[in-house]
Amino acid sequence: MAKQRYLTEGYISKEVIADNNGKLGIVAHRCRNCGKLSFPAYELCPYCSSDNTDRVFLSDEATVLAATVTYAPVPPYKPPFTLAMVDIDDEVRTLVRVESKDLPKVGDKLRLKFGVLFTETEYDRKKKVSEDVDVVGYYYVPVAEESEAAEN
Amino acid sequence: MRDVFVLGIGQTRFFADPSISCVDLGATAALEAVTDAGINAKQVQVAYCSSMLGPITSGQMALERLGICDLPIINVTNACASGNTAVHLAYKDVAAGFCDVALAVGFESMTQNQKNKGSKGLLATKEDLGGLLGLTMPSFFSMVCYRLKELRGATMEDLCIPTIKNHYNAQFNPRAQYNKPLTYEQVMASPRIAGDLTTLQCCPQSDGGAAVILCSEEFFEKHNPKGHPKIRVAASVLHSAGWLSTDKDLVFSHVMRATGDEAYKMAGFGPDRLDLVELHDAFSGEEMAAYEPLRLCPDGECVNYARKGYFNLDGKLPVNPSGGLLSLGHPLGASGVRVNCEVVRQIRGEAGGYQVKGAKTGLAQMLGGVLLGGLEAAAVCGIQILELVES
Repeated sequence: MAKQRYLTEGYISKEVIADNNGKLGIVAHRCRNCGKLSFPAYELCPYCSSDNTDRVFLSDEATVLAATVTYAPVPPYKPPFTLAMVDIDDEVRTLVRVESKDLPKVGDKLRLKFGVLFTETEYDRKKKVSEDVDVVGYYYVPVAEESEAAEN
Repeated sequence: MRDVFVLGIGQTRFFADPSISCVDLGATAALEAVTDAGINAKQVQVAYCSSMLGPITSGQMALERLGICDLPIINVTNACASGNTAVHLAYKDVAAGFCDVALAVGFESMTQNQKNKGSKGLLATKEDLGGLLGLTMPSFFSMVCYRLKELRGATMEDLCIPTIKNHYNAQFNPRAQYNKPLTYEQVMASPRIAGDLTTLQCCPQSDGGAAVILCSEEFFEKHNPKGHPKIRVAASVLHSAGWLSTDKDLVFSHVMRATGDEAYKMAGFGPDRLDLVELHDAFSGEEMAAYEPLRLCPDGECVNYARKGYFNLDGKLPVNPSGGLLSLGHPLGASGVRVNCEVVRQIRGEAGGYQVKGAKTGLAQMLGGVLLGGLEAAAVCGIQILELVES
C-alpha cells in the first residue's frame, strides 16, 4: 500500500482532519468564551481571540450557497472539477470540493466523504528513492445522488 | 496630521512584453513621475515600491537608476492592493510629518516573473485551506456571479456589462493593452475558465509600471514649476478582511464596505460627490459586485444601475473610464498606483478621449487576495480619494 498523508499536513499545522471514533472527521472549535463555532480550528477563536475552546467535529451534512466548475488546470487537480461554498451546522461557511454529476443548486444538501484526492511523488533523501504518496482529503457528494446510487 | 498633495504622476503603457524587466518598468514610471513633478529626483525623501513577483530589493534596483538612493526604500506586497498600500504608506509619512516628499512606485512584469514561478496567475496557495482545495481567483469570482444571479436577478448579459463598457472606454486610452470594443457574442465565444466566466470577462496578464509623488502643502506651494492643479489626498484607507461568518454573502464584500465608509468619513464627503471611480475589475462580475459595497448605488440595485448606463463614460458616475484592469491588464504591483494616476489625470483634465468632463474628485480602489481558510475573501482593500483644491 502506498504511503498516505492528509491534504493539510505540511501546509496547515493545526489539526483539520482527524479520527472521530473509528472514522475520519473534520475538526472545529467551539469557543467557551463567546459560544461561536469556527472552522478551521486555529490557535485562538477568530471571533474573540480566546484560547478557551473545545475541540469538536463538524456534522456530515452541508448546504450549498454557491458552486462553480473550474475548467483550467490547477495542479495537482485535473479539470474540470467542482467547488462549492457551503454552510455546515448553520454556523460555518466554507469552501469544499464536490463530486457530482450536475452543478449543485442553492439549498442542495451534500454529504461528507473522505478519500484519496490525488497521488504525489515524494523523494526520500535517506533511501534516495522516489515513492508515491496518496493524499487523503475530504469532499462532498449530493445527498440526492447518494440515494439514487442506493436505488440502482 | 497635515494635508498631503499629489505633485507628479508617471505611468508606462500597459502591455505584454517579456523583453522588458519589472525593474525597467519601475525606473521608467518613477522617472516620468519625477519629470512630471518638475523636481530633482534627489528631493525624494522616502520611497515605497510595490511589486508582487519581482526580485528581492527590486525597488532599490529601479530607483538607483534615478539617483534615488541613500534614503529609506521599502518594498511592499499586499496582493492586488499592493500599489494602494505603497501610496498609503507614502501618504502616512507625509501626513505625519516624517518627510515632505514621498514616492510610491508600483511595477510588475507578469510575462517575465510569472513564467519563472511556473503558475498562471490563478493563485492556488497551499498555505491557505481554500488554495489546498483548488481555489483560484476565477473560481471565486464565478461564485460571486452565481450569487449575483441568485440574489440580484443578473442575467449573463448583465454580468458582461462591465467588460463591454470598459473595453469601449479603453479605445480612447493609448496606455491600454486592448483598445478594441467588444460585443456580448465575442465575450461569450471566448474560452471558459470557471463557471460562466469566459476569458474576456477576465483581465489579461500584463506588464507595467506606475508612480506618484506626494508632498506637503508647503512643498507644493514652493515647488510646482509646471503649475499643476492642487490635488489633495482627501482619504487613504487600507483594511483587511474579517472572519467569514454565515451572515456574509459572497455577493457583498464587507471589507470593501468598511474601507469605503472609512474613506468617505475621512474625506468628509460621500459617494454623491464623486465624479469618477477607478476600481478593481479583474473580472466583469467583480465590478458589478463592487457598486453596492462602495455605495455607488443603493444596496440591491447594482444590476439595475448598470443596465441604465449609470457607470458608463457618459453616465452619471463613470466607473473605470480608463478601461480598467479588463482592458489595461493587471500588472499586480502596479495597478493600485495606476488607479491613483488615472484619478489625477482626470482631475487635471489630461485624460484625452476618456476624460470625464469637469472631474474634480475621484476614488481609486483595489481589492486583493482570494483566501478561504477562514477569512472573508477578498483579503484586503485599499482606497484613496483625491480632490481638487480650488484656489
